[in-house]
Amino acid sequence: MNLGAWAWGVFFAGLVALWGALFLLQRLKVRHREQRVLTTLFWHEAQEEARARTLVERFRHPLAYLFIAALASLLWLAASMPSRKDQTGERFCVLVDGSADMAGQGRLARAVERAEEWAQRLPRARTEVLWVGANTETLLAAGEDIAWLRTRLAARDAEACNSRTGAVLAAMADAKDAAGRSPRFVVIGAAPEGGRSLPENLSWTHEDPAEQGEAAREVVALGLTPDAERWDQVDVRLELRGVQAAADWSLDLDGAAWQGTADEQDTAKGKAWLLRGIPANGQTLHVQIHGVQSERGRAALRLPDRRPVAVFVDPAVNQGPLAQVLSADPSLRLTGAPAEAAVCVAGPDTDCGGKPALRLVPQAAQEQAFLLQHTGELDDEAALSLALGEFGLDRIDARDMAQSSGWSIALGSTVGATREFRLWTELLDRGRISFVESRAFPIVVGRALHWLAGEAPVVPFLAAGSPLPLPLSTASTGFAPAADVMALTAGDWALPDGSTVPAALLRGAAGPAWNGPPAQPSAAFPGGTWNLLPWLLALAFVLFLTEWFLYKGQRLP
Amino acid sequence: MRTSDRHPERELQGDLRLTDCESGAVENVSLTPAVLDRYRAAYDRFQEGLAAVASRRHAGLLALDVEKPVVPQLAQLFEQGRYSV
Repeated sequence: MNLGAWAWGVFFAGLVALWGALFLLQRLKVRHREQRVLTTLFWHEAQEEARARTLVERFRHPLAYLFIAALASLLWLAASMPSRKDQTGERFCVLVDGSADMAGQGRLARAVERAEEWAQRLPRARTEVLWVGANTETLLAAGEDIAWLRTRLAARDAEACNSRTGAVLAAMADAKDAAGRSPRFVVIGAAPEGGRSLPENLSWTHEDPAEQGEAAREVVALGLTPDAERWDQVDVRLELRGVQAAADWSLDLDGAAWQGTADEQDTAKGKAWLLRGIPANGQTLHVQIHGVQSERGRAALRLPDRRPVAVFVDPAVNQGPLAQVLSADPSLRLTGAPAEAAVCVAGPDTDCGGKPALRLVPQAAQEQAFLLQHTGELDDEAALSLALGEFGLDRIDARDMAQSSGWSIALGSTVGATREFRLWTELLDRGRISFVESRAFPIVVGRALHWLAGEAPVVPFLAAGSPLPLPLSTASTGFAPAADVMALTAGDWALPDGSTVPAALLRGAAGPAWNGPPAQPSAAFPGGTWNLLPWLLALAFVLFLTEWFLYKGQRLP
Repeated sequence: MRTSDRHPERELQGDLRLTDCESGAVENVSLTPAVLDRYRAAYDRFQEGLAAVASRRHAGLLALDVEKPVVPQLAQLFEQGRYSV
């Protein structure tokens, strides 16, 4: 047997102290018995009642002392919180799932109850209880008083994130003790996600507080792709589970109901709808499944702002193939007013008023055929990667161009006050080089201008718990967002460039199914209901009643 | 009087709250040997006092045991001229 409140030494010392204190009180206590006499005259003279309250007289009423000492001992033992002794030395970890899967229908309340029962059942000194929401937090450390658990759980609510119990389980399984054993786990909540390396001898059990027969109605995926034909439009794909008809969900753009049509298709997880031709004007698209209050029943997606970029073209360079490409690109709007332009296309010395510029420069003016000037937001590797990948320069057959022209076709980067993209004027000479005839030429010009304009990258989707996806390579601009940016919960998140995008709780981003060792039955875990406290209190009550009846029967003073 | 008056330990033991049946006065008493000795001393002093009062007035003092029949005790007095309790 273990004592949960204090060590055995403290228990016995307290017991001895209790008995001693009761002994002293017993000696000092005088219990009078009522008696009528003919006269108290002589007793008044002879009485020495005060001398009876001393510690040096004979000890009286030992039976009464035994009763009170036994009663006090039982209560002291009850206060020591005795529990069954565990001999194995194993560690235990109870994981309480705090994800959106626990929202609604009393699931979290049931999970809290089970967590408290498990904390009571397992060895207190070697069991900890963790809350697994967007972050992992300790609810009850090993050895802590169990009363803290209810207090700390009372303020908890399901968080707008996907379940992470699988990730936490995998991380903690590596924390082995001196004997090389991993903790044994109790997972209370949704089934843990897989996709991680786990020890084969992992010992765990699972309890799902969901009601039997509950059917999930949730958003599986929500994302967009640029429209293949219209620069200023996007196509949106919505996938839902547990929803069979378009009438069961609604969509709005910044609060205004969307009235278009959607192409329906069946998927492995449910149904999907493709919404075509949605204006890419920077609005936020909101989806809501009717009748679902939890975060799983709704999602938001920020549409890119793909309005044409206003470009001022210096008349001196607005000719030939460059002029053709500029006028044919629907994502550009040529303007004759430099003041209203976002970017300009100019020669080497043209004053662009401090605006970003695509410049045609003589070969003698710069070493590289293509030179990317940024304001210091990129390192050299990122700048070259941007130019090659995002601008489409990787589509150029640089070797062929070099052989045919006899030039060294190189790419470089530099730092300056404004963004610029400089290329040799000679590259536009059809007679010398085939650059303008390549498929890359209009792509390079268009994407370079969009980057110069500082457009935000197209974010196809943002799922809570997943890294920010890279922009689409076919029709995006800007630099790739940081790969380590990850929204932990659904809601608005700030990107590295200062803009905010809404993150959605998507079932499709929740990770693969569990691929580790199967869960064991809960009976394989030690403990079970072993609670001495009610028995101790009952026995103390019986003792108290017995003493009371003996006292009333004058068998006990 | 009663013969047990001088030996209350035959009826009384332990810690008592004695109530005078006439005056209602209360005395808390723990019957220890010392207390009993003091009680008997007080009782003897009272009896001696009664005898002294009777002697001064040239009167007799008759002590009757109220727990025994009175007539035989009186008969003994009349027959023998004295009665001892």
